[in-house]
Amino acid sequence: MIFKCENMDFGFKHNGTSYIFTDCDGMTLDDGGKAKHITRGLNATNKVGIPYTENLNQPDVITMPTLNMPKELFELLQQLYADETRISAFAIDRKTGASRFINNALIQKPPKQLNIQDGADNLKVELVIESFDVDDKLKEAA
Amino acid sequence: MADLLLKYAFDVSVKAPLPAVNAAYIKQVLAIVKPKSGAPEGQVIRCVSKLQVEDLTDNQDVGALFDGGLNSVFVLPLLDLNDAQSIIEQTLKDYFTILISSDFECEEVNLLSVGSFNGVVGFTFHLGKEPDAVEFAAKDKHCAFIGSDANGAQNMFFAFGKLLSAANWRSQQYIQTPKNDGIIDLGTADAYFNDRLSFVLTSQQYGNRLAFFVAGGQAISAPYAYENLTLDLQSAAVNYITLNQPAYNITECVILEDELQAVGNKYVVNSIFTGILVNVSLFEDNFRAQATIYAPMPKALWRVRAELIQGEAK
Repeated sequence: MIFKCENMDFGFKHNGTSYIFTDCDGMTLDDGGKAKHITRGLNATNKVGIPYTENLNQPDVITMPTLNMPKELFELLQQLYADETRISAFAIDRKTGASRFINNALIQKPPKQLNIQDGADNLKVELVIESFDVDDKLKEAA
Repeated sequence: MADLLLKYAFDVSVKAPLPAVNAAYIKQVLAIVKPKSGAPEGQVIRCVSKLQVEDLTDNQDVGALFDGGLNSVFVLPLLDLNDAQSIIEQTLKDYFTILISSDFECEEVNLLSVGSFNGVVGFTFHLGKEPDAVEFAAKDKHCAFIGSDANGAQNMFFAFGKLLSAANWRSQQYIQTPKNDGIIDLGTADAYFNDRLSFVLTSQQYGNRLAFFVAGGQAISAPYAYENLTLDLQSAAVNYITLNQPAYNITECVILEDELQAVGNKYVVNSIFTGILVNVSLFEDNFRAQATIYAPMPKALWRVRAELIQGEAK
């Protein structure tokens, strides 16, 4: 599965309405260190190992840096943050339909422009959300 | 009406979602009975109490729907079942279940045509009419109940009352029913079970219990769950399109797919379906997308064949 940023539409759904960011620099996902491992007793006779998992209680943290966020969208996200309303964010490949949906997401930080300085990077407003329900779907190209 | 100046200076247009779909008809029943003398015939009448039903018919079956938990029932007093089709066609949107009372003989019911009605049809066959019942039960969404002559169809009406008044689509396994239909031996029960006939089993300890309840060989909840799911999917899709006015592109298809998948997931969470998979894709050049929905048939567990091994587990 390869999502190519230049093919993607980014946005979120709230209350049956979908909102698409016109300018988005992509999406990063921090899985909170969820992983499977194997272990064994110190006597070291077991060559298969006993599987265990860790950090399943940690949510995925998704960051979407956007530019040029309209006032209405900015205010809506501020309100959703204040109300702790859950949203579904998405990244959809507009050529193949492959998608990543981040369902039941909580807005971790209200969207805010952190740097007011010269340079293109300083125009970014980051939307940071947390979720336990990230669903990637691969589709065949049409 | 807003003042002219307000409207002139600040004109507001409202874009509202469609109201939630009305699925009430799925839980409504049409009971066909013979009219008592002086009662109107050939009209579908909504009754909200047993007393109202008693004004229309002497039949006791319909009251069991209220005992089962329904608050209202459509009643069709009719002398001849051959006249039913045109009346049913005119009132299709009001109900999803037709129950034929014990006023009618199975020979009359076998000739009944329900036209374009695609819901559940139920009739109680009296003991000795099992071959007719088997034939009836083989039809899609047809529930053939077996009961004693003396009780009419009260157990069947009661069971449907319970099914349709429940909060969720469940098969009502072994609920207590009001009448003893005289089915008291395992051999008979096994035979009815194998023939996919619905019936009440009477045991000494537990009394009268619904021992099997199916329609067209499927779990009784299946046709209702599919109808409910279809309606919810339709409602969600229309709502999404109305609110978002989507363009004809893959991104919008995928978002719509996610909306519909969320509807399906609710049914899975409630254990009505084991899994639902929705797929929406572009289909034509414009206007119409193609959706495929996989929803495996809801099933119901009624019996267990167990083996007791008198030894330690290995």
